[in-house]
Amino acid sequence: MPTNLAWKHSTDSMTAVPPANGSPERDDDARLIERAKAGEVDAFEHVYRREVGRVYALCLRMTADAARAREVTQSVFIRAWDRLGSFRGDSQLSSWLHRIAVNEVLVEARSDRRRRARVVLADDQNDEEPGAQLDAPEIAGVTLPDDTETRIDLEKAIAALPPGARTVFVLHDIEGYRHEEISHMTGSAEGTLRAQLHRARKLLMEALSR
Amino acid sequence: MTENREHPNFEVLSDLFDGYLSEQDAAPVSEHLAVCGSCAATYKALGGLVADASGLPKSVLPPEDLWIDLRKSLEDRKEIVLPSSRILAGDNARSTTARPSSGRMIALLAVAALVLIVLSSGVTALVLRNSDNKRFTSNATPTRVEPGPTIPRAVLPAGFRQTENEFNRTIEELQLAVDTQRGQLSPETIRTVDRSLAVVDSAITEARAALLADPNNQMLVDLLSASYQRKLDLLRRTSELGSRT
Repeated sequence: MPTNLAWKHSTDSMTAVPPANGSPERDDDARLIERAKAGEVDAFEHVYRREVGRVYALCLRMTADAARAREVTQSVFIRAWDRLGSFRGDSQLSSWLHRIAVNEVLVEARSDRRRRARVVLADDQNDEEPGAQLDAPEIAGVTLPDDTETRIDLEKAIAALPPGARTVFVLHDIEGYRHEEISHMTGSAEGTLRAQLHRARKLLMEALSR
Repeated sequence: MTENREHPNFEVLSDLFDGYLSEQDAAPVSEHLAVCGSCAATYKALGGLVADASGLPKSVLPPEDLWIDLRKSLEDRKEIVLPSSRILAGDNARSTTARPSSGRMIALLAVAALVLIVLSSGVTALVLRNSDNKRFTSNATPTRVEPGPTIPRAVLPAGFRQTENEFNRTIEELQLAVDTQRGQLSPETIRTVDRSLAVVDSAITEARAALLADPNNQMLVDLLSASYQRKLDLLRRTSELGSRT
């Protein structure tokens, strides 16, 4: 299990992110974007302050590595700055940033896998771990109380998932994307994604029942 | 209560939970859950897991403020890269109503690459000619030249070096992604992409050499940025095309 996660510390700050100065509302998105497009870094800082929590949470959960999550988070905002001209305002700014974040993590993961010559997302299912094929009744009796301690356990268990299963679980069960959308983002077939999701859920239930 | 011994496997329960089973397939599983305590417990636990996961905080602040470094990067890009990015963004904006297919986009990028190298060559020739003129002029006027211990090394402007590093990092990532997808592209597309990349690489090499010779020339900075951006766009389009096929 990765040891460089800082969930205990992070949970203290798992709150809505305050803006840098004042409190710009969602209605101010267009004005902020226009100012940022004009090259005003201060306007972009408002966007950063408001959205960095969501972006970092996604990056941290998908990479399971705090250092990489910080790097990717920075890349996300650099990409967003570069692509401000393509933001049409027909989607929410946070959704637009979220898509960029997912893409950045996936690109980074592909590069990392290439560097390490490791298996690709779709092949994660081949390195099944012992016990992953248990029938349902054998993992019955799992209870998941919703206190903070269990939440941290759940975060750690998610971080320990194989990369492919973790990606699909985070996007589907935490972020609420549909398989069709994840398929579009990852390039993996929906059937493969469903198999990854089943695997992730099963491994998590086993891990949390110990 | 009679327990059906043929327990559905976990995948079936998971599909049932997500609503992926047809009514015909879901009915017997639901009937089984009504009479099998262990499967019902698993199904309930699965629901608890998914509920807990969806209830995890959506916002987690990074342990330290990333804005200071980020701001520096953005300021650097504002000075150097942004003009070309804005031009490209404007191109995208104009093309949203009739977006060309990726194959056509690659062909267009290939043409753009050719235009770029012609432009690059022209500017480079102009810059080098101006440099030659300066050298000729300075040689014509006798001046005392102090012998130095070393010849100063040609370097890129400090602000651009960081930008170039970022370009190269992104290009490397995209290149790796494209390399993995080459098998999914047609030989004709691969040839077009390779030719275009070679052209853009030549433009980059030439613009870079010209900038090394004249580090204060903003036009060359913009030209080199545009060349890098063009390469990024070409690789990105190719990567998107590969992931769709």
